[in-house]
Amino acid sequence: MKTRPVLIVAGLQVLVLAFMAGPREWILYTGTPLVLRTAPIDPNDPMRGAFVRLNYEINTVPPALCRGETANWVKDYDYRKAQMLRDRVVFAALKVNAYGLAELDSLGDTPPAAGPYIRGRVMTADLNGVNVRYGIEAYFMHQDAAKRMEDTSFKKAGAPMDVTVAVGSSGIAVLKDTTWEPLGITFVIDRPPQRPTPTPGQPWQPQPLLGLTVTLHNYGDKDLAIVNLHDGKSFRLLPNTRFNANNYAWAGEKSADQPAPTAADIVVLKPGAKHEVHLDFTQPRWWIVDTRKPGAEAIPFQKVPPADAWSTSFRLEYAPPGPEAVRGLPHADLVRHAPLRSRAFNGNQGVD
Amino acid sequence: MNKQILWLLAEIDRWKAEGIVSQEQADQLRKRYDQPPAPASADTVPWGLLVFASAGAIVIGLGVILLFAYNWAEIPKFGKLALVFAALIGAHAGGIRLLARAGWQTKLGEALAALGTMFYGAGIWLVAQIYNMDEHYPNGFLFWALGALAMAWALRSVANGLLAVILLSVWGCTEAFDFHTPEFWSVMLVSGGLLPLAWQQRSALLLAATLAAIQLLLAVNVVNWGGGAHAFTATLAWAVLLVAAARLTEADRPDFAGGAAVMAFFGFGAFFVCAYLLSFHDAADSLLNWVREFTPRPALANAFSWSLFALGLAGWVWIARRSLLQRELTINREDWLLPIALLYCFGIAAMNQRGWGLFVSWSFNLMLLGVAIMWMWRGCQDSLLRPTVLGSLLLGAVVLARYFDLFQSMASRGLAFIVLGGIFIAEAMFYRKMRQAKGGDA
Repeated sequence: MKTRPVLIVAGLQVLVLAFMAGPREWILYTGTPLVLRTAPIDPNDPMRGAFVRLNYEINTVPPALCRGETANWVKDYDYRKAQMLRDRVVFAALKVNAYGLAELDSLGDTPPAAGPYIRGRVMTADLNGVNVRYGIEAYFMHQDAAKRMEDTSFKKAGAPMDVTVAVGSSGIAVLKDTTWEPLGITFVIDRPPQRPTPTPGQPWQPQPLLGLTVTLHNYGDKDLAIVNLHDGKSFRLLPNTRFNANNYAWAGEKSADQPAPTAADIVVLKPGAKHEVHLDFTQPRWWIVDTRKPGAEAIPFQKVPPADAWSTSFRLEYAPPGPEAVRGLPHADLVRHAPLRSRAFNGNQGVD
Repeated sequence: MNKQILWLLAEIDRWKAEGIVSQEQADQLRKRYDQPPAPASADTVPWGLLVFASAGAIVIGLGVILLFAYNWAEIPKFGKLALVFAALIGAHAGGIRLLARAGWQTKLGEALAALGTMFYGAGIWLVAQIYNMDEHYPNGFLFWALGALAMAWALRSVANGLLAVILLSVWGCTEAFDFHTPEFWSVMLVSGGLLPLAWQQRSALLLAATLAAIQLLLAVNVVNWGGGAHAFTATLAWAVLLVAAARLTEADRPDFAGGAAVMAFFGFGAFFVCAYLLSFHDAADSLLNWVREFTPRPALANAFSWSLFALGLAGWVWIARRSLLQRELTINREDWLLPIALLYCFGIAAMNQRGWGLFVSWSFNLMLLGVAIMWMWRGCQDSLLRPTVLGSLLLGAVVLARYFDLFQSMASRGLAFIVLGGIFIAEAMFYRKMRQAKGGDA
């Protein structure tokens, strides 16, 4: 038996493993650290075996952020072409916002000329945008640790997880660490009194969305402050296009009507404390507009046609004024300024 | 080599084992029929050692993968990496050391090399776990399979070859089912990488695993590229090619009779599955929908179907030349139905006449009935139990299939079973008569 070929193959097997581990170890030490926020998209089933499935906000790329060839993928949708796009390499250009979080700037089929970027692969591409995975969506851990993290995700409902990754010069990202955001956001939908039982044979009528009671929680072990502007002006609506074609946008999106905060607007939350805010969606501030009809008038959620109500899906974003706006006010140093997004809800009172 | 010679050689081995003839006498008898002497018992492969040691190595490797999957929090990252590299290098070093020795230790070395390849696979998943890599996971199976394939060739190892077959099948299926991206290379790697090894090592086991994998991957890939119609044509062509290869192997490679039997098994198996399905109206309709517009990669499906068609036809032309013109080969009459079915199937599919579904299903019914009756006839005439039983089973299967879709009334169903029962009784009488005529037990 000639042993040289066996020796060569055994050596190649060792090299393959070294090639997998070596560059990533190098990136961990030398790569650019970025903090990415995971969206609370899949809160009901965050575990699969002994790893946590991480859904980043940058996994879902709306058509407006697609550049170059990727813009054509979402513009001219074709089933056969879309199938061929699976696993195509794409590059997500990132920018770091004022709160230290990396946000998606654009998605292209070539690396951006400047700035940090992550290499990813296309999962799906359609008229709603491109779903991309970056190879950092699984966080493996011991099964007991995974169970603890699962418990934590229930205890800290509505608190996003921030993930630190190291990014190499070729765009490969390696997951380094995770931390929980101390501030969490949850909501309860207003339930109007039950309608009389419909007569037999009558179709079921979904309940319209009239309002929400939003709760901000301090899950941390230190005091923190929130800014609760009058009339819920610390909050805004973001259309959700993750799973369906949403044809509505928030009518108040472009209006910059956030007033200057006062001392009374700043609420300090002790560890474990929470603060509730009620948002009345029948008020014009929360009306929405059909994006398919140019010049369409804003309407409240309850006026959305039944055929569109399920796909009229939004998230609520707690977006307090920036540090400059609260400077000089009491407890300004405790205010968390980073925006915080809720789970999605739709016009039929459905929640993701 | 004809079947009588094969039978005689097997009998000589039995006589020798039972002490009826000596080694020298056995060799003289073999020589009389132009056969080389049987290999000495000292040279034979220690199959027990090989099989159990290889199976043990693979099971240990699976256990190690599960142990690593537990993700020991107490072991630091570099400790885990050191463990996996040490296990991989240790297994291969031990294997290479034993391979350099003679006798049974070589086979133990082969088993250790298989264990090393399992550690290599465990290492792929462990490194992915350590660095939280969530890449395209079928690639893990592909790289593992390539490592096993390379080791199989370096060692001429059946155990590593079997591992490679399984891993390449898993890779091909996960690409097709989980990602809807059927991989052309899965079929090509199994065919090109493992068929020659099985042939060279004269391993019927590796050949059987390889043929099963090719059949599976072919169906999975082609149905994704070109729809169900291409799955029928490609599988039928593959079946006809395999039976041709089996007949040529029987004739030209008597030292690999087991391989010929495996090819015939998979060839006839695939042929009957296709023909049986096409005897149903709906499946026949889908065959007539061959030229489809809305399939992802019709060109690739066509390339596979037509390549296999050309190879299968070429094989049977070669057999026809040698059996009909040169009189070198003896081919059973019913075997000729296979190339005829191939030509018919491709012809009817290429014509794209959608209204002919009933006609096509009836023609495949007749084809199956033809093979069944010819098998039964030949089995009775030659007093061979296997074709007699297989023919009867096939006839029963066809009648049972038609029970539900052709015979509408209970009266016609009852009549069909009475006729089938009558055929079986007549067959039993004929078989008994022919066996008695040849001097055997009734």
